[in-house]
Amino acid sequence: MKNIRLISVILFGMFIVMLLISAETISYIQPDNVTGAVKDTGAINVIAAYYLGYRLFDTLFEILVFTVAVQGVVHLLGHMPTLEQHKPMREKAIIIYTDLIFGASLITGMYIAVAGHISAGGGFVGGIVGATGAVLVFLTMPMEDIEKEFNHTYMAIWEMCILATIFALVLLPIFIGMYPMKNFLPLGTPGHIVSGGIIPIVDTLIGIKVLIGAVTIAQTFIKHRGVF
Amino acid sequence: MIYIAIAVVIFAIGGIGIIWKDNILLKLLSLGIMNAGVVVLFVSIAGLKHRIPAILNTNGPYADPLPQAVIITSIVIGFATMSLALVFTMLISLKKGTLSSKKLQEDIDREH
Repeated sequence: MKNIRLISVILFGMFIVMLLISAETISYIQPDNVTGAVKDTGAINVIAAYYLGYRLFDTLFEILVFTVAVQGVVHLLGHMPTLEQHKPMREKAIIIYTDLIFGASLITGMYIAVAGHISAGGGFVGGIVGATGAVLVFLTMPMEDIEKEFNHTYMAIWEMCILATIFALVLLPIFIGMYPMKNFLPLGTPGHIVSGGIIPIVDTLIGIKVLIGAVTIAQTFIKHRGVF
Repeated sequence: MIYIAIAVVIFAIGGIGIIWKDNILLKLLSLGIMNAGVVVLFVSIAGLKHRIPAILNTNGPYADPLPQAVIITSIVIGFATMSLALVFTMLISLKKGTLSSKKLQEDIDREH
């Protein structure tokens, strides 16, 4: 644990130093106009260009707040008594309906997250849309099946891995001599699905992370409070 | 302009709920309504001059993208923090056996 603390101090120290010595950062704070934003970031959705380009620092810590909230819910509810009798809805029609809706909502949410830079949407919205299907499925499944299919430990590991990947992507430009949070991948043709450098990658990662977080919250609440 | 007025009304409804309601759970719901009012305010400020969303495959003049980019993250964060607050409410109800803020205040006064 001591080593991790040391590594984090060194990493964020480099972050601040590179931020201070780089003059380019100042021109990257605000675009001239809407077309200027597209030229800077390669994403034709200017809102994505803002929150994953100009204001990426803000978004990073919003993700951290989300993570802390999810961990708080899991930790605090873990000390409370679980429900002895979990009564899911077991009608056949409802089970088939929710299973069908699960696929639709998962794929729609992931589409919204992946295509966040070329159309309306983004990772935050897509994650929540994807999670609604899973929450519907939870209403119809017995608790043992939920814990088997949506294993809480694996989901927590994935969530932390994705968080680490996002921070690594943002800190990586330090090591190749650019200022932190620079969009270091080629920008591509604006309007294509492969464009905008790191914006679609970070958007997809945020989408998966928000999906896992929302599913974890719903699962914990259902485990301790039941479905109705 | 009318949307800003609607946002202020939603915010005020939430604020009145926080002040008047005795139950902590209802206070939390009022806080959620206030959150919704703030979101509506930001989106309506973005659309004050022009209404077309700033996605460049449509023809502009575009709405201001900055308030929308600021508020898009806060919706999900609001959901997460609200569930954390609900867990705290559950803890209070488990330990004290009541959710009435008046009774909780009396409890605290008696202890000191």
